[in-house]
Amino acid sequence: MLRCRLAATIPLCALLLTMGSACSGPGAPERVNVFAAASLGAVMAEVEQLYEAANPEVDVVVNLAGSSTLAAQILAGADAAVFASANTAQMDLVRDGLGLGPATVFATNELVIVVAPGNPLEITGPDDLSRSDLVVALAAPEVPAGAYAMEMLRRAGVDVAPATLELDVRAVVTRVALGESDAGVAYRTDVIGRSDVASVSVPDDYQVVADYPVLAIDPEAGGPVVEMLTSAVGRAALNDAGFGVP
Amino acid sequence: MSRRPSTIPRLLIVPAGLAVALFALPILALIARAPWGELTSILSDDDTGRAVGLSLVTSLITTGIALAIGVPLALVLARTRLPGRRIILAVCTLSMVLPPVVAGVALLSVLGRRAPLGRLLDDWFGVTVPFTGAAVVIAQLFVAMPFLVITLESALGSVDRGPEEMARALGARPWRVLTTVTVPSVRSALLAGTVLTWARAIGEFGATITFAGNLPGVTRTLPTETYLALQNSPDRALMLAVIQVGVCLAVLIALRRRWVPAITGGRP
Repeated sequence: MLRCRLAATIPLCALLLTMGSACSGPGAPERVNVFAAASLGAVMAEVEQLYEAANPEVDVVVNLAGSSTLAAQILAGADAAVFASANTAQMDLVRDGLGLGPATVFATNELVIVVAPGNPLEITGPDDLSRSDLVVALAAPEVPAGAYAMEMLRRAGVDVAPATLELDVRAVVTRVALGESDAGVAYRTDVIGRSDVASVSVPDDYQVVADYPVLAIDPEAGGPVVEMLTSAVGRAALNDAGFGVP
Repeated sequence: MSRRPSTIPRLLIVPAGLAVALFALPILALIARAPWGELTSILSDDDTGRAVGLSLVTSLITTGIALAIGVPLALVLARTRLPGRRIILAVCTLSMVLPPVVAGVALLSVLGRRAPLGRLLDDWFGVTVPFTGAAVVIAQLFVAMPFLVITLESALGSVDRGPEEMARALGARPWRVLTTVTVPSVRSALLAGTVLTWARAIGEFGATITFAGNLPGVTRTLPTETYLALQNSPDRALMLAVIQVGVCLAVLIALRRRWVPAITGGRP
């Protein structure tokens, strides 16, 4: 009987112990959580490295997700020092919710038409997306890239019947890369440096440019990170990744 | 409710209670947070209707096909001396441990436009599977049918085979033995496996979105609708989740209370 009790108690103690050890001890580097839109992954990795090299006492932790997911997490009380959003709507939600000042647009992203390498189906612009021989993938209008794509197609006056409305813009590129779709609409930053897809530019008349605002939710811890992002090194990293810088 | 002395150590109540809390708290919190005032407007909007309809239709078709091919599979695995039975069972249940998104990629690797079988279907019949309702059903089958196969196979393995052999010795044909002796002997496992398969199918998300995509009325099931709602209107997402939980809970409770005792002869 005693043995049974002990056996039942051990996992419980183990559980309590692990719960206790989750709290970090003294002497750990100061943790700065950067919540960034998924498309900023490469840029943020570089900024993190540079910032930590210059400030060894700081541990920058980048949390990448869709902007709306990040906004929801921040509004639910997540410990974010910086929020870099892929659209102004989600940034405004956070600013209104937390009563914060204006954000800075630090990058822009433009739309491209994603096609197979070598563009075998000779897609030249938005007009071609209405061709009935094409399987077209777009992002769902509920996510920013999808809303921008719909707006671009509206401006171009093109009626597209997509085969699928992907839940995030990367999935659009994956569809084309796997050959399941012939064309899609994504950000320039999603296709830059990739050899498994090619891109066709969208004419300026129809182009929808996405603004990327950034804000230090915690001015003291996050402010310097935002400064680095908008400095010359940050702008260079953004340029390398295919972003425009205002 | 007879008062028999417990045969298990009382202390087990503690971990058992933890387990209950793990399951109950998130569901209760979900129900508490859901915007109940919007229930009727959400239930009556077109998007919800389309998604619920598509989810019900595809999950029921999936369950039907799972019964048509999964029950024979379980019978063959449990009642023949087929070489490599263990390996076949392992292969047929592997999809349970795959991340669903990977399951979707695996399906694309076979049935996608550039994949071997997918290309044949396209060339010969002009059929492309991805982005269709058929793809939704295939994705659901792939991840959900193992629940039926594994439940049934294990029940068949533990049931007394005496009555089956006796019926056969007395001259009953194999189909008669199957329908009057074998299947009735594993009825509750068959039912449990069917329900598990249906529930897994109606909740399927990862494999569906990867393999079938997302288009309203064609491939947008309730879980996908819920995920999308989470992007812009979390309240709607919560309510959709509660609706889904409600439907599944109602079915499970109905089975537990009414059908299971009826089948097992009154035993709970």
